[in-house]
Amino acid sequence: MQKCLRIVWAAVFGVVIPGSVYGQTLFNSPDTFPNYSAYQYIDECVAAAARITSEADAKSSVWRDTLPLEDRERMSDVPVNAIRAAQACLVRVSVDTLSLDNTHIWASALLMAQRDHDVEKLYRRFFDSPVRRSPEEFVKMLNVYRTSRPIRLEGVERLYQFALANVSPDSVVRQVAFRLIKADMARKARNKEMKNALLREVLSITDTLSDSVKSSDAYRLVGLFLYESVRDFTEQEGLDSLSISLSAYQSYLGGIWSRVMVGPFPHNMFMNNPVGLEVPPLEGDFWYRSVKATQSVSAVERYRKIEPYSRPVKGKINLIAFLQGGCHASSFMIRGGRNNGNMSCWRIFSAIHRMKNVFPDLEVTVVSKTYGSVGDAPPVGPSEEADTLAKYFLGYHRLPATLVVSKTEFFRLAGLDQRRIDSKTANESNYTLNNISYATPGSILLVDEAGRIVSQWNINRDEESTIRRIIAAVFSRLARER
Amino acid sequence: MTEPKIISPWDAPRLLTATEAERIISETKSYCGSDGTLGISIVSWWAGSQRWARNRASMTSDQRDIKIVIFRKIGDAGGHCEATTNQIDSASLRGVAKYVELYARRSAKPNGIDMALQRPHWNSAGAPVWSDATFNRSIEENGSLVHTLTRRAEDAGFLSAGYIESYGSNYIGWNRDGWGRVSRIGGEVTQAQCSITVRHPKGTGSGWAGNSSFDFAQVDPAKIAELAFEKCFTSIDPVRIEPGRYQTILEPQAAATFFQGLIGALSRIYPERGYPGPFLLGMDQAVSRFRSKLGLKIVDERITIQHDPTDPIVGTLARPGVEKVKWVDNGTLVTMTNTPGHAFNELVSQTPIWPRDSFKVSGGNTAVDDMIKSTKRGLLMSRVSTPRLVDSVSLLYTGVTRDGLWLIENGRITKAVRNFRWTESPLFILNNIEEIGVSVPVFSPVGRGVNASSLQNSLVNVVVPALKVNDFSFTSTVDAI
Repeated sequence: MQKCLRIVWAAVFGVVIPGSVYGQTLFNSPDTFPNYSAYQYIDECVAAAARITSEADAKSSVWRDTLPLEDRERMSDVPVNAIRAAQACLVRVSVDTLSLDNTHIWASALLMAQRDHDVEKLYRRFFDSPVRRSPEEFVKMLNVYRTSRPIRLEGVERLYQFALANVSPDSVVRQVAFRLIKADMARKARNKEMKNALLREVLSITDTLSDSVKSSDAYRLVGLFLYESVRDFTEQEGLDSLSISLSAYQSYLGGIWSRVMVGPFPHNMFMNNPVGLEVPPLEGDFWYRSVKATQSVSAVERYRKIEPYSRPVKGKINLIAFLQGGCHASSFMIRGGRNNGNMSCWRIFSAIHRMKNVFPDLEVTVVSKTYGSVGDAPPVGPSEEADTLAKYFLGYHRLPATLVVSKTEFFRLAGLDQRRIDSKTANESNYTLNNISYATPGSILLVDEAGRIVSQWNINRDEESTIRRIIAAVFSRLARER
Repeated sequence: MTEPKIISPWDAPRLLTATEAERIISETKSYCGSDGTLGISIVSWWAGSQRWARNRASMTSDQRDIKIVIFRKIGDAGGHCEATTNQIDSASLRGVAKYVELYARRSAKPNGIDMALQRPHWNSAGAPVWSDATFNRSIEENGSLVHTLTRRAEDAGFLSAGYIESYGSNYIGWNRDGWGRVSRIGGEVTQAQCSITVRHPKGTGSGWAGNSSFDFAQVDPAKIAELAFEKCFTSIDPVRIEPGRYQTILEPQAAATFFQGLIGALSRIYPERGYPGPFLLGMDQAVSRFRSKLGLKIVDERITIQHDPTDPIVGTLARPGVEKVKWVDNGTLVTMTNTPGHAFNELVSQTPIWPRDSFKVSGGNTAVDDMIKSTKRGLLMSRVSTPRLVDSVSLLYTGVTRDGLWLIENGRITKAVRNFRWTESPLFILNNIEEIGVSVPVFSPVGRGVNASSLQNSLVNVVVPALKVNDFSFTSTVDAI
């Protein structure tokens, strides 16, 4: 076991750790403090400090991964050892004499070492130098601030003001982008006032832009980000519209779109959700429903085979989770998403449990399909495989859901190859709307009582709380209408 | 409770008897709980060897040991522990069983383990690789044999070094998985090895020969000693010739190196995931899959490479899932190795094709002497040394010749030649074959298994023919002899 861990360490960090050192590493990680003065190049040293940070993050968030994200996690302090490592790396470095090549790498290291004043000195030297500095170099520097911890709002503002005077030409689009980045940083820093003020400022700038500017390639990406930010900024307005009707919600989204972008509202864009599109009934060859464990029903047998029935259920709010591929930790990485990431799947399971607890009337459907085998177990027939999936989703992970499994048609490659090539299932074909497939592994659809999509997402820790508010708005409308 | 008993190594039997092994398993089971997975394996081994250098015996050894491994995995939470002992008294067995139980329960990780899936059960097929002639060799017999083997070199004023080793092992494994399924494995194996190097006292000539087999009678040390002496004698004072491409006769020991290079690259996973390699055909746009060269001709059509675990000549110990396989059939690549994951998921097949080091190459019927007679100008290569992979896509290797390289002119060996560095690919060699010799077992150094799995993997038996190939590439001369 120890040997295996050492091999993993060696594979990740490219070094073979001697047994005695390994022993310390095993019990003290991430408090390891190697000799940073041994590094020849600054980027190696910075990488080592970053490794310590990521180890600390990974260690502290293993099981938090299945909980919704809290902003304070993003802002958590850099581990003391990483700061010490960066300081040790830079102890002999003087910003007065530093070469101005790779300034952003130096700046990153200096921020890690909490030498903020030296970073400012460095970029003053950088922009004051006779060499003309391009806006791209400013963006690199901006990114250094954006990704640093803790968040440095004052530092980034000083950098921007300084760059405004020294980097030219500074376009309107870049000004918008800068404010958006800063607004995002303010959000992470939970500085609501600053975030809202920046977004108001951005919107007022955007309102003055001509359609030709808004149509430019440079603006489009910024515009999409702005659309998302404004939607976040006016979230309550959106939820209020959703609690009136789905069409009111569509009008609300369309209003933001037309304010910041040009062209029709793109229903089929992932960012904007396929709001309002009608979904067809799910099809499947094997249907299961979760049941409660009793004295006669053991924990892993909390499921029953049922007859097919129409889902999503009309008249109810539905959550459809496409989890084909098994999600099992030992699933192999084949056929696009078969291994959707063990932790990603578990995160989805945790989120579904929480949503079902808050909204007991939410109809949850898990959609899967047969591959011939589950995880690293030997192949079984479609019926047995579907049973194993039911045991996995409904029994082992206790998902309060209906499971629909499609038997996948396939052919084998000719000759000696004999690999199995799967065809699309009916659900994969039917849930391709406006040429976009919403039946990809990990895709979740929120469908209203009329069978129309309210929201679509791939559950991640950022979005869960937002989604829960959306579901609450839909339920409140339904309750009011009844 | 029985007290630990100290047994003198010379009093102990070379191997545990089957009855004693059964007693240990049965007793260990009684100390372990009835839940979860329990695995008990016992390997006992003995090795006796004689080594000599500069015509004088340098070491006689007689080693034996037992390894008992107890593995426990308890509950869905995945707590597991494995411990090893070589003490077979009741107190020790009970102590180890308690330790394993305790740590298996302590190491449970309630959040980190996914639902257990049923593991596959595969058949095991192996060869009768046991020989009393090997196992019953005594130190005295080997000592007198070494005396005989060194005499020829000593009488001629040459220096001889080498070793003879007899090795015997048996193992038994009992396993109960999480679903209560019980399986057993077991087997016994012997292995005899002999390697002899003869060198000229002034370092102007060197010859080597060796052989290995489960049966000591098939090793024939006297013949090996004679061959090593002859190679040394005929390779004295080699002359330097220009490097370049030569028609070359590779004796079986030299040819084996190139076949091993080919066999080691037969993984199916890499080409089918698009990694560049010798057997990646390219992307099949029609099905959006990378294709391997399965079904295509890759070497000369006279070449067939296969492995049958039940064939005593290339056989191995029974190992789950290892069955008869034909890698290359008349020059066509017909099977490649894969993993359980690939077999289950991509092929929807129950059994993976495990890689293995033992193999047999179909031979021709041309004797090496006849190959020499039909050669106008070429080289006879005895053995290669330190082969290293230079390019994994073309399977290009480089190494040096060693212990005998001769120039052939007009159908006869005319002189010994200085060693060369060669740079060549098995794929090139095996597509430029002129003649093929009779397949014979070659010396394949084996490791000693100290547990069941390494024992199963350590036995390597290679049967290959001599090859006469065109345009073998020698890239520079080497001064070492």
